[in-house]
Amino acid sequence: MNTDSHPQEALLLAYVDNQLDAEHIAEVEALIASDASAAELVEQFRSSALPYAEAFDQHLAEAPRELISQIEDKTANSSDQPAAETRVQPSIRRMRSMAAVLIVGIFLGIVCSTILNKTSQNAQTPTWLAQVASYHELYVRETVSGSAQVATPALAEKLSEVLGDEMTIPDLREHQLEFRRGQVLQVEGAPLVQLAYLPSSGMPVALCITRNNAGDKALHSGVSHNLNYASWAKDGLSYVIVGHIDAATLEDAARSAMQQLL
Amino acid sequence: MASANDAFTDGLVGLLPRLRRFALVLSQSEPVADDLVQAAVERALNRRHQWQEGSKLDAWVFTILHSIWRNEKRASAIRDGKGFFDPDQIASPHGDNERTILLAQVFEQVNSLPEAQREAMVLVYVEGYAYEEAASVLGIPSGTLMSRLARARSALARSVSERDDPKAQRVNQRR
Repeated sequence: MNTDSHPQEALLLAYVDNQLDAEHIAEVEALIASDASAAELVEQFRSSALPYAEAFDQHLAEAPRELISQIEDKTANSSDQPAAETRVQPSIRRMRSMAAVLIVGIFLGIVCSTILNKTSQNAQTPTWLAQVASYHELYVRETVSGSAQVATPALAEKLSEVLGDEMTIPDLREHQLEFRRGQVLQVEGAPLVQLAYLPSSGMPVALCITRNNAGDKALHSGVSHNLNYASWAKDGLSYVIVGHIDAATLEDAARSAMQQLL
Repeated sequence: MASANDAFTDGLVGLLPRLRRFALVLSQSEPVADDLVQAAVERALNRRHQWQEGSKLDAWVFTILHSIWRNEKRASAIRDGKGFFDPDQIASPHGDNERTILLAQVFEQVNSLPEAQREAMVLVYVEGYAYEEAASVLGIPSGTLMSRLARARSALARSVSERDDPKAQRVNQRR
């Protein structure tokens, strides 16, 4: 079987794909009659005319309803541009604040008292942490419920390499938070390890770690993008646990994570 | 304005399953694909004023998603190593009849192609884009797209002949 490129391969493929007009069809058929390698290539293309669309249609999954709701809500409110937190890119900020309308509605009971208590801390939210919260705000249960990654030593090792420091994947099951997946993102040009945990019900929680060489900071809590967070920094690494979960549980989970990450 | 928003919203929502499937073809990782779709949706929403009603929303959003993959997510996915991902994440459909097996084989073989070939294959033969549209989504000249499709089709033809004829497999291995 000839694997070299044929100078007319594009034309021959378009012929097999029925994409040619009558004039070009005649041209290709004349070529096939006179050029054995062209005929062989056409035969190859014909034998690989497989049911691609049908094969891939088996893998179409329904979109999460929450993501659909977010899109509908954001576009429905597209003319509203309420003031939002500073420090986030303006275009992102507009979208986030629209999403917040939806999320505040759902989580009003949980979030309101926390916002009232902690609004003053918003102004001190570091940029990286605001970006993490902003990103996490888009997450719905389905974002991570389909994943069931196991917290293996190999995964911990991989994440350790990314951070340049040995780390473990904290077990937070005593706080009803089950580890679902670990992945690497980027914030302010530095890698960010994101460990996603799923409570038995409700929205996911993420523990994020980045090396930004900030000075050590004791555990402190706040609200960013209407999400509670608990954050600390040690030995050049900054940590945050963020999610739609009550502040007390989040702080308890953060303390567990701190102990396990030492 | 409302009608443009409605068309945009309906279009974007309707696209989500196809966007996720394409993201999975690119990244071959469910977590990365989910992030990619979210990032693409976010950017499409932020830039929706750039979309003109009546133009093809799907090609526009596919272009955005591919651009985010190529310029932002791909490097970190590669830098972090393929071993980071669970190779079993792309599961084959279950079943044992001949058609199901064939569809599973086709799916696996396309996903085994190099990234440049499989993204071209999926846009043209799965998503049904014309050659020029697919080239535009990928940001490459049409000739490059055709060359990638031809490579992919030849490779898949070899897979077919190896599957159907073990003797052909031995011949190909000698080449």
